[in-house]
Formats: sequence, structure tokens, C-alpha cells
Amino acid sequence: MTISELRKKFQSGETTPSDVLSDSLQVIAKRDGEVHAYLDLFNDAKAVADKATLTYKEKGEGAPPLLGVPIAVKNNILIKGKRTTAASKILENYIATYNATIIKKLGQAGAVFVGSTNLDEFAMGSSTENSAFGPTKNPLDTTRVPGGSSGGSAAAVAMGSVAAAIGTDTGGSIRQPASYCGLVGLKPTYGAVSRYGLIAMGSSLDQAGTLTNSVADAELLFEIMSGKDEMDMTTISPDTYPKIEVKDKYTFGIPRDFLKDGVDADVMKRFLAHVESLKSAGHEVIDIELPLFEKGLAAYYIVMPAEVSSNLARYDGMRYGLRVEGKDLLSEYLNSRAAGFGAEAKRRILLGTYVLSSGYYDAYYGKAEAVRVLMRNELHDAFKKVDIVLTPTAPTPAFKFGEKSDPLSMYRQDIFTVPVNLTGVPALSLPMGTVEREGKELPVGVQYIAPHSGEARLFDIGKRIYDGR
Amino acid sequence: MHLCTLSRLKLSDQEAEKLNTEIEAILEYVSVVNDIVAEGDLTKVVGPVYNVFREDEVTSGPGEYTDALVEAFPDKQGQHLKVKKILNPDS
Repeated sequence: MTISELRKKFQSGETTPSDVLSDSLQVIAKRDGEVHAYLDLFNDAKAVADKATLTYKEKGEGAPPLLGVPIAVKNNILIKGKRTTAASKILENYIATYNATIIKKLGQAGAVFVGSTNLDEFAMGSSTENSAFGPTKNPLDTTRVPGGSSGGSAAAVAMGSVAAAIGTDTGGSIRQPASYCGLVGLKPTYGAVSRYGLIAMGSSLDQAGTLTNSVADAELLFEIMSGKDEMDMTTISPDTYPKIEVKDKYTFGIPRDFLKDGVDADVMKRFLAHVESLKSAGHEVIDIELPLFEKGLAAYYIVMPAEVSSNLARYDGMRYGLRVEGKDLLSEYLNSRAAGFGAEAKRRILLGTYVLSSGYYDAYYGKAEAVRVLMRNELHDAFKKVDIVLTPTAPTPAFKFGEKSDPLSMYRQDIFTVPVNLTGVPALSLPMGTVEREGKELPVGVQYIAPHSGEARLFDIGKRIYDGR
Repeated sequence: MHLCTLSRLKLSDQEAEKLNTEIEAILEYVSVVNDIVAEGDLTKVVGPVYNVFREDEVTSGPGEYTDALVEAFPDKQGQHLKVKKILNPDS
């Protein structure tokens, strides 16, 4: 189900928000015991849906754009009065005291928040296996992961319980689960959408975005969520970046060298077929070189843990969250954090503390930040020749639970998505067909990368290629 | 494990050993950044960074969030947050 289909049915009276919510809860009752997409369901959703049902009767087409549309929200986004855990023991009983800006905006547009969704602890992971409350399963094949970190949000949409879900993307956490679950995933330009009320992971990389069944839905939600926010000084204005025009025919660039190693053969076959379909639709596809993008993952695993160690320093068991007794103040910090954080969080805190420590700062963090600027310049030059850069979203289809037990092999799942966060540009993951594994057809995604503030271009081509299929 | 104290994390010996090996592997992997940027080049690179200000004014009503915040305290006495003694902890 798409938001636009729901909207038409609400307006014509064919169905009501109350009925759609009750269908949604039925799907959850039937499937979520196994899938575990949700951490909490919101019991005030019914009142909101019932009110929306009345409003459609009164106002019809004048109703706000998302009125009555069921939406799930990743549990690292604050909704006032709701438990916001970031899937961590350290925030297990934390109740949000205010609304994130995006929640306020979606709420004003009429969204019905159905529940909060599972994630890798503090959004750190590519499989949702790092959740302190148990993993989420891929609804299309429950022996496999849904991707991550927004795995719960992706599974919630893929199992048909909501029309759309909100996620966050620091290194691919929306796009990779979208690819694994056969959805449209949008990571907007850094600063396009306010981060106020998001539990911070890597502050210079984090962006909230959407998981939807169509590009038109991603566009609608983006229009509602985006905009300057005085509570987030990194939000951008429409004139921050040069205007990116929409065209009739686009030139796509493929960083061919970047795709040489590590891409699954079946995924590559789907990718090349997608390239052919772009050509036959009249677009031009050329090879480009982005040598620094291959090194992006290394720079990412310096910058991101550095920011993680700083952001997670606030969870010390003092003012909120888990506190574990100790003989003095220091031992209370040590004990609370030892008990509250999972293995991946600890790994990244230690790594981040190391690369920021005196004597190592220049060798690691300083250089990684310099690489970032060079990558940005390299991409800027590429966009003089092409309109959109094209890669597979992830090198493989959804993998099995426990398959990537070594941290580095898990990190490599994000090789095509992290350069986008490091450079701050927007990207869209679209389903590009399926590959067969053990008799099951598993979806895989293609990633379209546009220049800064180029969302309109992504929506334009995305709607033509995917929605109009 | 000086790093553990810096990170405010208590680790068991077993945990520390495993993380040590993993972190060494990751550090080796990320050190390719050294091949891209030479030592002397560091100062030349400045990102698109500038200050953003807003008026420093009170935007919430008095006590608007107090109860919710006090409710979240792990330990409290009345409306006060209770923590371990900081000065002269041994006395």
C-alpha cells in the first residue's frame, strides 16, 4: 500500500483511517511475533485515527496531506511521552520529554504513529542483530536479516503493517535495509531535515529519511519533514547550494573501478540490467572515476566512531537511563556503561576514544576529515560530467543471521553507502529486481546519488523509473 | 587498559582481549587514510564551516519540563538528583 493510494481511498470514503489502523494492527498481531519489527505499539493511535476518520467526513479533500496515514518510527527518534530506547539497555526505560521536529511536522500533517521500530543499538550496525531487545527478521525470508540499522522500520513497511516508516541514516542505515526489503529508501542532503530530537550517533553524518513503497511517497514525506529549523543549526536553506535542475534525459555515471571487487555476481547482473534499462529509456550512461570513494569506508570508520564516543559520553547513569551502583562516582560511570552498552557500542566507543586521543588525533581523525574534503571535491568534479552517480546499494542481498560475525565483514556491507554520508549528498535506493538464494527471490537495490540539494532530481527520475514501471 | 578508563567503560578480561584484537584489525584497515593525505597537507584542508547563531532566549515556560526530567532521575531526593559524593569521597 502507498500513501497516495490510501489518500484516494480516504477521500472517496472507500475506507477510513480507523479501518486502516485496525488492519495494520491485525498484520502486526499476525506477523510481528516472528518478525519483531516493533519495540512498542502506541495505544493512543486509535484516538488519532478515529479523529482522522471524522475529519475526512467533514473536510474530504481539504484534509491535511498525511491525515490518517499509519507510520512507524525508528526508536531513536523522540516522541513525547513515549519510550525511546535506541534499542539500548542504557535507555531501556527512558521516556522522551519532547517531540523531534520531524515528529511535530508529521503529526501536524495528520500522520498516525502506530509504533516504534527496532534498530541496531544506537543505530550502529547493518543487520539489526545489535539490538539489545533481540533482532528483527526480514519479512521476505525470516532466516535472513532485514538490514540495518533501520531494520525494524524496513520490516514494518515490508510486512505491510504501515504505509511508510521513518528511519535514520548515518552510513547507509535507511538505504541498505530498503535494498534488503524491496523498498524505496531516501537519505536526504545533510541538513535538509532537522536532527532535533534524534538520538545522535555521528552528528556530522546523521540524517532522518524515509522507507516507502513508492518514490512519490518519499517525495511527499520529504516535503513535509524538510526545512530550516532553528533548533538544528546545521539545517540548510533552499539557497545554501546551487539549484539542481530536473531534466528530460539524464547522464548517469558509474564508478566502474569501485564496483570491481566484492560485489556479488548476481547483484552485478541485476545492476547491469538496470543500466541497460536506463539506456533504453534514452538516458546516457558513462564510466567515471571516483578513486577516493573506495577509501571512504576507512575514513568513515575513523570519523563515525570519533563522533560516537563523544555523543555516547552523555550516557553515564547520572541524570537518566540505567545506573548501576558503585563505590564511588567513577565506578558508577564504569559500571553503568559496562552494563548498559552492547558489544558494538563498546567497540566503537573505544575506537573513537583511541582515534581522538592525544598523539593519535592528527594521524587518524585529522586525516580522515581531510579525506572527506577531498572526496567532496572529487564528487563535485564528477557532477560536472554526470547528473547522477549510480551504484548498487549494497554488495549482496540480505544475508543470514550470524553470517557476518567479524566486524569488518559487517562494515563492508556499507561500502557504497558511506561515501554519501561523508560528502553530505542525497541518495535514493530503489528496488532493481531480485536475485535467487535457496529457492527464494530476494530483492536488491540500486543507489542513485545526486549533488547537494538534488532531491528533486532523484524524485523525478525515481518516479519515472520505479513508480511508472 | 588506559583506553577503558578514558572511555569510562569497565570490561572483563575476556571482553578486553576480544575487543583488543578487533580494534587492532580495524585500525589497520582504516590506516589507508595515511596513503591519501600526507602529513604536511593537513592544515590546508578546511571544510565549509561557519558559525550559526540564534537569539539566546527562554523558549519554554517555567517548570514546563521539570516533572518529566525529575521523573527520569535514576535516584532522587524530593526534586534533587542524587549522586555519589564528589569532593573528598574517602572522608
